Amino acid sequence: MSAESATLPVGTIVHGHGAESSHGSHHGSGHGHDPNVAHQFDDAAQQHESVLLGMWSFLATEVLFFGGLFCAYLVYRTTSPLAFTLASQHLNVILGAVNTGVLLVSSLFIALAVRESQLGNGKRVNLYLLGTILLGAVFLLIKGYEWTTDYHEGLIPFAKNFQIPEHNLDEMAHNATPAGRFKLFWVLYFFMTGLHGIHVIIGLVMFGIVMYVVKKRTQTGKSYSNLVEVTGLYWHFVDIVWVFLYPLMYLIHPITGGGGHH
Amino acid sequence: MSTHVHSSSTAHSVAPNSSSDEPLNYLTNGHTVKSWLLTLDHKRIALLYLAGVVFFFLVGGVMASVIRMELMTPGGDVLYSPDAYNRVFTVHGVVMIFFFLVPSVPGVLGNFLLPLMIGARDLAFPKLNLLSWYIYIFGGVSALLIVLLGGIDTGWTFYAPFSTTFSNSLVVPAAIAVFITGFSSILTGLNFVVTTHTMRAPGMTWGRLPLFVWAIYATSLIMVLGTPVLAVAIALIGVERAFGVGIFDPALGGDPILFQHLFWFYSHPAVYIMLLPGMGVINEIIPCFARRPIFGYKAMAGAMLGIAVLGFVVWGHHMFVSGQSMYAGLVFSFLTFFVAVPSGIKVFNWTSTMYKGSVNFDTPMLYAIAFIGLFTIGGVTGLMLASLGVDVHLHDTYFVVAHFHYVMVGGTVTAFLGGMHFWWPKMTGRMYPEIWGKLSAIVVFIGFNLTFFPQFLLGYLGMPRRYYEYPGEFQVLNVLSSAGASILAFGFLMPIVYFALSLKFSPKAGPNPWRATGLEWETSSPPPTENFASTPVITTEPYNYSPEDSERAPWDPFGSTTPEEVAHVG
Amino acid sequence: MNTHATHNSSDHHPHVMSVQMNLVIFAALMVLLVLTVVAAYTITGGWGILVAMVIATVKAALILAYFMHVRFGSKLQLLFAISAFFWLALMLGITLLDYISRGWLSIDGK
Ligand SMILES: [Cu+2]
Repeated sequence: MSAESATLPVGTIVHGHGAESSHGSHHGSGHGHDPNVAHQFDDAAQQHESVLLGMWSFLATEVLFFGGLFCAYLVYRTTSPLAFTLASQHLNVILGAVNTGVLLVSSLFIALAVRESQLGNGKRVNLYLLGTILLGAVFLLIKGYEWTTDYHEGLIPFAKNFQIPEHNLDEMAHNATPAGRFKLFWVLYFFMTGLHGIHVIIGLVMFGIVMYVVKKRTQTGKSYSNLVEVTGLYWHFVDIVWVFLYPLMYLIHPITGGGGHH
Repeated sequence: MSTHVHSSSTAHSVAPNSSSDEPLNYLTNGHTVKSWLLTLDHKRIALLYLAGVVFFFLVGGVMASVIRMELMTPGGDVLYSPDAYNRVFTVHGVVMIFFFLVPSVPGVLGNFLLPLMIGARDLAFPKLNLLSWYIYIFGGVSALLIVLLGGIDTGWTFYAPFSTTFSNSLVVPAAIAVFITGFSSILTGLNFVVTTHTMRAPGMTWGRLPLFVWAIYATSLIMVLGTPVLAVAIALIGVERAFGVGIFDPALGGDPILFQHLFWFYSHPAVYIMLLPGMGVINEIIPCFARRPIFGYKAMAGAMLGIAVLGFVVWGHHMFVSGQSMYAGLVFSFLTFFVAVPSGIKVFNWTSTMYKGSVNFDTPMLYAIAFIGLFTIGGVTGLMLASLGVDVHLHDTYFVVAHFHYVMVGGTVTAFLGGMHFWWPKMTGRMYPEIWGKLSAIVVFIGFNLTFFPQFLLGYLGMPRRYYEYPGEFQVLNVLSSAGASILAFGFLMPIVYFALSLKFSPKAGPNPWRATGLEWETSSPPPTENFASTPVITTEPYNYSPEDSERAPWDPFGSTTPEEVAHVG
Repeated sequence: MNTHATHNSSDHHPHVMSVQMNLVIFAALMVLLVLTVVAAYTITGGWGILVAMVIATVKAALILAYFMHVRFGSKLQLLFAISAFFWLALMLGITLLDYISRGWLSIDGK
C-alpha cells in the first residue's frame, strides 16, 4: 500500500460533480428530488437495499432468538427421547397439519401481495393482506382451541392442574426416564408456540397498519412497495419457524387419530 | 508538512469556516431540549450516549469503590452483611457490562464516527438509532430502580439454580431490564451492519474502510447474532423463577449447565463486543501518532472478523469445572488457544506500525500504548485460564477477576479514553489541555496496574472471588489493590473535569489538529449536521502517513536504520 | 452496496415473480407437508427425526429462495440468511457435543 500511495496527495477528495452538487444545502434536506427517499439516502435503490438488509439482519437475530429455545429442545430431547415421545403424543397431529397449511397459504398470499405492490396495484395488495390477516386469525383460533384442550387435559405446566398422565408416568418409570422431562416438553412447547403466536399477532397488527398506509399512499401516489416487501419477509420467517416447530412438536412417533385422550 | 497544508485546505473547501459568519454545526443547529431528545442526527445521539455511559460508569465506579473499601480488611466491616456485598458486586458487574462497556465505544464513538468515516450523511436508520438510545436508557433506569428497591445478588452471570430457586432478590425485574437493554444492542448492531454495507460514499471500497469501521462492523455482527441468545437465556430464567417448572432445576429434570451454555454463547462473544471497538480505536490512533501507514491492513481487518467468528466457538472455557464433558472441555480449550492468533496479529502489527515511525507521545498515543501492554497481559493470562489443568486451580479466583479487568478496563476503557481524546476536537471543536491529558493517562496506567496486578497474585494464592471476608494473610495485597483503586478513580475523574472545562476555556481545534487521514478530518470541527457539504468521493488508500512529514526523527530503538532506509519507509 | 461505484443487479428493477411460479412453489410446499405427515407414521426409529428435518429444511429453503426472493436478490441477502443458520448450527452443534460426549471418559462427573 505504501509505495504508490506516498505519491498521492493525502486525503484527496473529489467534490460533488454536477448531479450531486444539489446535496450541498444546510439541513440535509436539499436532495429533495424524490419524496419517496429519506434524507440520509441518495436514491431509491440505496434505500431499497438498506431496508431489505435491515430486515434480513433482524431476521438473523430472530433465528438465534428462537435458536436458543431450539437448543434447549435439542438437549432435552436428545437426553430423554422417551419423555418427549410420550408428551408429543398428546398433541393433535391433524390440527397441527391444518395450521401448517393455513400458514403456507398465508405465505403464498404475502408473496402475491409483494408481487402486486411491485406492479403498483394497491387494491389487490390490500386484498391479499386482508386474506393473510384472516388466515393468521384462523391460525390463532386453532391454536387457542388446542391450548384449551391441553388445559383441560392438565398439560399446561404453568397451570395449577398440570398432571402427568398415569400411564405415561409408569412407562417413564420403567425406562428410568426422569418424569420432569415430560413436563419440560410442555414448557418448551408452550414457550415456543407462545412466542411464535406473539410473532403472528405482531404480524397481523403490522399488516393492518400496512393496509392503511397502502390505501393512503395509493391516493397520494407515493411508493409503498418497500413496506410490503419488508413486512412480507417477516411473515415468511414466521412461517419458516412453524415449518420446523410442527414436525419437532407434533410428529415424534405420532399416534394415529391425533390427541391421546384418556 | 505538505499533508497538513493539503488536508486543512481541503477541509476548508468542504465546509467553509470563516469566522465572520460561522455556519451552523451540529451543536449549534438547534438549542432546545427537544432538539436534543428527539434528534435523529447520529452525532447528537452519540453525545446522548456519552451522557448515558458516563453516568453509568460513575454508578458502577461507586460500587467498585465500595467493594474495594470492604476488602481493605479481612473482616466484613463496611457493608453490614455478606448478602449486601453480593448485591454490590452484582450491581457493579451488571451496570459496568450491560450499561457501560457494551454501549460505550459503539454508542459514542461508533455512532459519531461511522457515517463520517464512510462519507455518509447519517446511519441507514436514524429513527432506529434514537430508539436504541431510549431503550438503553429505559433499561438502565429500570436497573437502577431495581437496585434501589433491593437489588439482586446473583452476580452478573445469573447462574441457575441460584438465580431461579434460591436467591431472595429481585431477579425477575433485573432479568427483564437486561432483556430489554439487549434490544438496544441488537438494533444498534443492525443499524451499523446495514450502514456499512449500503451507505459508503463513492470510492469507499471495503479495502479502504478505516479499521475502526471494520471493528465496528465485526462488533455489530456479534451484537446481532449473539445478543438474542442472551435474551432467551434470561427469559428462561424469568419463566423458571416465576413458575418453578424445572427448566434448569436438576431436582425437576432440568439441567443448570444448559443455562451456562446459552449464557456464555452470548457472553463470551460479548467480551469482543466490548473489546473489538476498542481495538478499532487503537487502529486509528497508532498510525496517526507514529506517522506510518498501519502495518498489515488486510491482516488487521481479517483478524477482527476472525476474532468475531472464533469468539463464538470458545464459550465452554467458562465451564471447565462445571459438569461439562471432558471432551467438550478439550475442544473448547483448543479453540480458545486459536483466538490468540488473531489477537497476536493485532498486537504485533500495532508495534510494527510504530517501529521506525516518528512516534509522538500525545495523550491518545499514551492511552494506545497503555492499551497494547495491558491487553497483552490480559490476553496472555487468558491463555493460562484456557488451559484445562491450570483453570482447575484458578477458576473463580481473583486471578480470573484480574484477567478480565486487564482486558475490559485495561483494554476497553483505556481505548475509550484514548479515542475520546483523539476525537474530542472533532466532536466539540475544542482541544483538551494536553498536559492534563498526559497526566491522566499516566495516573490511569499506574492506578490500574496497582489495582489489578495484586489480584493476579491473590488469585494464584487461592483467594476466591465474590467473598467479602478473607484470611488475614491476603490483606497486604488487598490493601495494595484498594490503594491502586483510589489512584485509578482519580485518573478517571480527571478527564471528566478537564473535558468539561475545555468546552469553555480551551483553544479551538481546526478541522484536523492531528494531521490525520480519514474522512472525518476532512470536514469542519464540529461537523455540520449533514456531515459533508457534498458527497465525498474517495480516491486514496487509508492511513497515508509518512514519517518524513513529521518534525521528529523516526523511532528507531535498535539504531539499525540508515538514512537511506528512512527515506524509503512509508 | 455502494450505489455509485458498483451497479447492483437487484436495484431499480426488483424481480417480479410470476403468479404461476408462486403457485408452483406453494404446491410443492403442500406436497412436502403431506409427505412429512406420512413419513412420520411410516418411518419409525431414529431415522424419523432426520427425515422430518430434511423435509422441513427443504420447505424452508423453498420459502427463502422464492417467497423471500433470495434467489433473485443481492448476494448479500443470501449471505445474511446463510450466516444466521450457520450460527444456529454452531450453537446447536457445539452444545450437543457436550451432551453426547458425557461419560465417554471414565472419570466421575465427566
Ligand atoms: Cu470467555
